[in-house]
Amino acid sequence: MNHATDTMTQDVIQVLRCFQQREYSGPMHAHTRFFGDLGFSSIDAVILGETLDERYGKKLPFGSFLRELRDRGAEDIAIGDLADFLCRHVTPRES
Amino acid sequence: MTAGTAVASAKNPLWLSELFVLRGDNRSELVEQVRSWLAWLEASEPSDQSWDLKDLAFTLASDLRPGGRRLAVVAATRTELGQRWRTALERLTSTDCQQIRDAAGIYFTDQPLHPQGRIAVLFPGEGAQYLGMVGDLSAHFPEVQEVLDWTDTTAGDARQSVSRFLRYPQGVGESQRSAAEQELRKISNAMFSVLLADWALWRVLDRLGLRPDVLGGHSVGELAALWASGSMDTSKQLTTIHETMLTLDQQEVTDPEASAVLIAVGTSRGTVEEILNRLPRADRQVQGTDAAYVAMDNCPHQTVVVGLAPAMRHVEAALQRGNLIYERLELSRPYHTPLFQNYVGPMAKMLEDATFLKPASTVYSCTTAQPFPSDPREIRELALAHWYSTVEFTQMIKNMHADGCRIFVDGGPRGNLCAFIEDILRGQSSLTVAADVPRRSGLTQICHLAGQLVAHHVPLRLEVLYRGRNPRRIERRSQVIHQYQAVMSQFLDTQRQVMHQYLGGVRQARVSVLPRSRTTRGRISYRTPLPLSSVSAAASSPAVLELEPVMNRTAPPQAGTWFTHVTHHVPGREWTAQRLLSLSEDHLADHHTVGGRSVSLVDPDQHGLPVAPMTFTLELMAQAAQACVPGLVVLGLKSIRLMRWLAYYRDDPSTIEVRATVQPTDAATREWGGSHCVRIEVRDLGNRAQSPKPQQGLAASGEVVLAPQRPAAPQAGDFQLTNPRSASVTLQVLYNNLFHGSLLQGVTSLDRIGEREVEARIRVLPRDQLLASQPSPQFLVDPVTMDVVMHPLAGWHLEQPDQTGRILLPFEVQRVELFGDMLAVGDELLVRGGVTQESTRHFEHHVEAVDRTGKVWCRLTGVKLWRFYLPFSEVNFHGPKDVYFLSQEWPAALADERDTDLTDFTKRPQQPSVAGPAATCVRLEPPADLQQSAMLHATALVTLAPREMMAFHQLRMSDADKLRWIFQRIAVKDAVRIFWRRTHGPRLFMADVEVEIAADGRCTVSMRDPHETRPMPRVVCSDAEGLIVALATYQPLLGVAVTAADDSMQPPACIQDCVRQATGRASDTWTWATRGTHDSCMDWNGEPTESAASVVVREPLRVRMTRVDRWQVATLLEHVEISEL
Repeated sequence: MNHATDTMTQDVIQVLRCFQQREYSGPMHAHTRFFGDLGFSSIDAVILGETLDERYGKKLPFGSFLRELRDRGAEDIAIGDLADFLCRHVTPRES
Repeated sequence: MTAGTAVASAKNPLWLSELFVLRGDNRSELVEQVRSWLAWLEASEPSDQSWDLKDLAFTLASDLRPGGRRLAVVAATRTELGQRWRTALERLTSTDCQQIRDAAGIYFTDQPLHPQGRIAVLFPGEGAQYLGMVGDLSAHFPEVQEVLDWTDTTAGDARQSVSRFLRYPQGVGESQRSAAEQELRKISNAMFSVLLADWALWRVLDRLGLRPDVLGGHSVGELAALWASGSMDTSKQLTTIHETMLTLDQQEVTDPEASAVLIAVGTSRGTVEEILNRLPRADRQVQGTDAAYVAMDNCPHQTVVVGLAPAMRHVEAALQRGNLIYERLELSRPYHTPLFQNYVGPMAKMLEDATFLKPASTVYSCTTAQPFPSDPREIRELALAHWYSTVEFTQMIKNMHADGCRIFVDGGPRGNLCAFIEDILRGQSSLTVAADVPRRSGLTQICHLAGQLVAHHVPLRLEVLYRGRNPRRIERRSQVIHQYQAVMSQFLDTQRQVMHQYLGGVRQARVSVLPRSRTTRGRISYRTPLPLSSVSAAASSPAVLELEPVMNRTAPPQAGTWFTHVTHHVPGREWTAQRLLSLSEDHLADHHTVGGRSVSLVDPDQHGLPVAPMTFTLELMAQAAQACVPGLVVLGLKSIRLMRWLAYYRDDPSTIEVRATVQPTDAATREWGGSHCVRIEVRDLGNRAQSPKPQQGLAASGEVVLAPQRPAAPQAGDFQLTNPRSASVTLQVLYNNLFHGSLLQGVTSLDRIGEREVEARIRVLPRDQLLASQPSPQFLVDPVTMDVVMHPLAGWHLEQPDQTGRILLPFEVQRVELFGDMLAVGDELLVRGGVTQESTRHFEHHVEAVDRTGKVWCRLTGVKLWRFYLPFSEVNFHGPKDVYFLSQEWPAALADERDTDLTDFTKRPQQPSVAGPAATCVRLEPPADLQQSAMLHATALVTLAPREMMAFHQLRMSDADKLRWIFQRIAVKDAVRIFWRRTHGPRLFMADVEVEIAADGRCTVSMRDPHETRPMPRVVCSDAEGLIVALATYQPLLGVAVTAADDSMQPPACIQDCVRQATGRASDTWTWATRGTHDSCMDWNGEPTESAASVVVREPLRVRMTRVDRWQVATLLEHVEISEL
């Protein structure tokens, strides 16, 4: 994992640590799964897309990202996948 | 039909995690509890095999008392539990933490939503299914296994049963699993499997004791809601439904151009409708007819659009252009659109064949977003219309929230509805929780569900989680102290559970009351027939069916005189027997009625709740001990703890079980002079209304000390009173404030009262009417005389200037010493007692009785009485109900300093020829102690007329609504009683005034006495946030309404409620304008305005809005003539 991805992973973790008024005190890392570990739902994925749009100040192709995951048979979104996607489209936000 | 990402994970049938619930009266006490248990956990050796997580979870669940602040943690290992408690501790000690909702499994809230918030259970439809859903629950919940077995039976071939999807095993190869998933997507399998899972989970929730106020369903889940409400018969309908689903399968078409396309779009209904509207008409039509519709409004972030394939290609292209997140669903029928009307035939037939009944609880329609009508024909029509109408889930949830629902349970598989609801109610006060999610084992998710609900004070039967798992209770050293302090709260908690079941209506009891008989070497085990006097009760009571004799039973040994049903005996070691608590036998209980006596003029025999006196329990214990070790005499009893009342139900007697076990003779017993110590446990096995719960029904425990002979009675010592004076309380006042009938009234004089002492005289009362079958009962403790010995202590309390918290009931006795034999009827005893300790929740007393020779007959030490806090009227709560008022008169609602005599209705006469005020207004804040189950039951018995009592028994609503039901009536009765007394003179009993409150809140009152011909006053009643106000008047236009000051309900709405109640006219017939303001008081005058030309009624009214404490009170003062304005 390069530095940019690592920084972006931490950024995503910060978003997800208290997302949708739900907390998660367990360990979070690049392999933590959005649905399987954090317990979020498909609606939450849509809201996550909106949250990221707002956080990075631009309309991200989140729908395409989800379709890509589905097309390659992924059943969940790993934080690392999300960080990779974000790295392709934005620069990490200063926290 | 919900869209979700499939994240099916393996389900494990084992208990992977446990639920740990801690409680404190407040947050700081909760923090102390967490610290204390965490310290204990950390000090515990990891290798200590004497307990496991299940034992700890069980121990904490057993100790859970109502209310307070609760922390629920779900953890799988000791290490994980410690980590979560530490995380919780960190959060709880932070001042900015108001709640914890940690997906890892930590739940806490500072603002519990129950009981103020109503509970809704929602059932999902097709789309929620996944392989292995629910199946692992069958390992623990036989209710789930029953559903699966039933499905197999009806399918004939278990391999073809839909249950195979529910119990799909883990570890199956990917290709095989993929094929099974494909098969599960078939419409018949998808819909039917979800319905089965909905039904199985509903059975689990029901077993856990969850009692929702409302139900609802999404798409086909609506059928599950109708089943759960009792509107449809499950067993008959499931088969038909499956057949219908199979027909739908056959209708699925293969021609892609003729089939429908369903797309779930990650945006709101408004956005989707805008996209559809922007499409050229030709693009969204097929053969000139609209062919694309919004089919499901799931939430602001999901809308399902459905249409025929040609039109949907244009829709999909538009979604792509808008960069919207969407997903095609693998279905091909245009469900929930007008296009489906062509295919609705099988559904129509299924519903036509179904039997519909009026729902037992409110069910919301996902078509209208309103409650279903009660007419079965209309229910059927609406249920059918759902299939070709838009799923209005968003609006339905909004309406439920507006109707007071705050807790939403997704009662089906996957938990997708939770996400919808959270999205719909974003930013509003609510809790959503799923009964099942694919990522966790079913049992683990049940722990998470229970934890979140318990944190919000939702009553649950947590003991269900440990059923059949043989949990052991963990006794910490420090915990013993907590238990000691909490014993009465346990008592109340148990009573609450009993009342919860009682209020929930008469349930079919489980078949077995007694454990199955086993014959073990050296042990005699048998059952005996019921006595003849109980045969009729047994015949009508499933709960006692197993009391029939078993084959080859051995005759029981001679037992104590009160027991005839000995069920187990190991001579000299163990002895168990049962007894029916029947009023036809135990006449003394009819003279010991919690709540009071003679509570109606019309029916002087109407009394409170008959319960066994504590001394009756002591007699049971003594007899059991002597039966266990015959030939010895009873020296006394020690460590007596009373956990629940032994109540007598006139038409449905309970059975109690008394177990005696000989203990090793300890130093305390030897010091007392005893040779044997026998531990006694008295359990309430329940009746028909209460499922028997032998493990939960511990009513009392204690130890009986036996010896070959009793030592000589000691000479009584000196008894000093501090600043003694004569008693001012008369015997009439004493017994007016107790609930003892004539068979138990034995005090002959209250002689001297000291600062902390009392001296009195009593006499031994006749015993021939105490027990029906025993005109000359032989007692070991003499329960009646022993009970009377404690009455002078009540006299001491009545002499005290502050009567706050002096409704007293015993819960513990450290030591009862018996020195004398049974006394002769009429013998006199000198009683001397006093108070040794007191706190806000208890008094501790000592008392002894001295015979005429100067020798001590008995001595009780460490007698602890629990303090109940109830308003003290002319008498206390147990006193005569014609002079007792639970409500307080509230003249402030009718007048304030600005009022003139014209509008001060507390002063203004109603008519020149009639005395009394124009109106009486009362306020009632139901005391917390009266909301405890047994006290509430007693309250119902002494305040309700028979017709009201019958209605009370038939209520099918939440506990909160039941409390509201009864306290509203008490407030109305009090208002009428005060008004009547001032207007006509006579005092009325609460139980002689009958109140009816219609669904729209309008009240009517009538007299139980058919000879009363004077007109009854008009009454209005209103309540908000724990305050109930009631007004009684003969005036045609007087009213009162109340709302919480911080409620979102605006003042005009409150006023309109007030006017609607007082006038019976719909509020929209009035217009309102503000006139003037005041810091605490505003006037609102209705005036016709230009914009209200169509208003039907234009009479001006004067309504005063007053803020009192945390409430706003609207009082409709009167019809004011226009000339006065």
